[in-house]
Amino acid sequence: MLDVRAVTKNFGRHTAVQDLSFTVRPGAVTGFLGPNGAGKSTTMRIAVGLTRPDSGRILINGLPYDRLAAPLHEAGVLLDARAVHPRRSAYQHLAVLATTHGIPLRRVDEVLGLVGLSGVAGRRPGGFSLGMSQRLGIAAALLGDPGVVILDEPVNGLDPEGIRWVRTLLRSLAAEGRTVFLSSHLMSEMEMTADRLIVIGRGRLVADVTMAELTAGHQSLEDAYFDLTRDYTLEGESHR
Amino acid sequence: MSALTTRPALTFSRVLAADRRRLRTVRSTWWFAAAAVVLTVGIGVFPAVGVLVGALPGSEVETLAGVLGGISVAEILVAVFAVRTVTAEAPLPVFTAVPRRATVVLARAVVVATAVLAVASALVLGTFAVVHVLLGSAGVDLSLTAPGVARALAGAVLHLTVVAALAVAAGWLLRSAVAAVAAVLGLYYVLPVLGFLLPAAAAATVLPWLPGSAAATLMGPEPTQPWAPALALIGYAVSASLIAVAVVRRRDI
Repeated sequence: MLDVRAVTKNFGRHTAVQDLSFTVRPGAVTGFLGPNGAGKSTTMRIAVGLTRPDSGRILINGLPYDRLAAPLHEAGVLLDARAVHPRRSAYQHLAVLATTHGIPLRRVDEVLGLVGLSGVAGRRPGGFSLGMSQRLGIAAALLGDPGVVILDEPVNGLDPEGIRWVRTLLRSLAAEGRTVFLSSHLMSEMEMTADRLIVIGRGRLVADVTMAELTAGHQSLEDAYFDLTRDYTLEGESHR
Repeated sequence: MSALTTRPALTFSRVLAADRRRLRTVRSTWWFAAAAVVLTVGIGVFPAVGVLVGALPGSEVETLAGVLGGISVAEILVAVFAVRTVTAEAPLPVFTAVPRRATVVLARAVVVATAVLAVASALVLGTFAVVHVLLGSAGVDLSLTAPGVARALAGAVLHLTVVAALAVAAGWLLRSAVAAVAAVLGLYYVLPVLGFLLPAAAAATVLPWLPGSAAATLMGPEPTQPWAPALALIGYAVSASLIAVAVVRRRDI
């Protein structure tokens, strides 16, 4: 369970997130939608303690992330697939992370197999394609067998087979009772993956609904999304 | 997806273990160690070779200074290596796995300083052993038990360890390898020069306590109070690490 409580974050004079509150529940895939600059990544970074909010807080299973006894076991996160040492092998990258929590190294082999990177485990990620880096990032997120999974744009750079694989994986994680929270700009993909949606615009909550509620009366999620966020896009802003 | 059999937990000692793995799983660590060995031992034995072939006099003080001649090269290698243990990789994965910022910063300082302590000990003792043998065959006795010798060697090891801790802290504080290396080397080479701009009385009080002077005193022939400069150096390393903790805790990653 991910509980966002009245979070506000300003970067200088720019307000990234303003009095944002919502709850992401277990057993479902919850999509996180909003135009560029809406505050999605900032919210996810605050959830795992990388960015400090000006006020409010985000609780993971009832506690702030940095107060958890085993953060990697409670929440797995993919925020930036390229943020790895380019010259430490994929296996050792995961092994370093596993060691911080005493996670046995066979779990590293397990998640590498799960994301289809066993064959390149000894290679350096500096030479990986974006798709392979995303898979390594997903492996890192799953390393601690977490109850909450937070993924920022996980399908960017993946090929069609990879996109379908992520969809199946996320559906099965939710079916196991985990909390799955992901952002994406691919509306058709989100429509096939998510059960619930959180939509934000300029740092504020726009909608917290089920997929059926949002798409009712629209041709597709894409149409519903554009209806909802028309006033919040960067373009919309420039027309004011 | 199969579950874990043992319940994982984040502890300081596990973060230390992870950081030891972090160091040994990139090749550059081993390149730095190899470069330090080759250059420090090479420079350190050079005067002894001079004595052996009769080109240099075999007075004890000069040969001890010769043993430590490579330290000024080693300190630059140590500074660059230690800065890079922080700046060479994106901070996002480690702070996501270990959201307790003080743990990350202190563990890195401990692991890098310990690694440098081990390599520096091997370097200094190795150089001394080679020089001892070379001088012995020239009929000059440079003994580890002679007054001040063991203390000077230990001082060199402490000096390099402190450089490592300062460089790790500078890496966290400045986040850029170039800026952090410049800051550490500036502390040792530029600060003493600026010190001469002070009034003479103030300079006489301040200058001996700068990190570079304290290290030179420790490695020199006869410090009157070896514990004072040693404690000053340790104080610099601890203070820099605590400042890094305070700053990293406050800011966004």
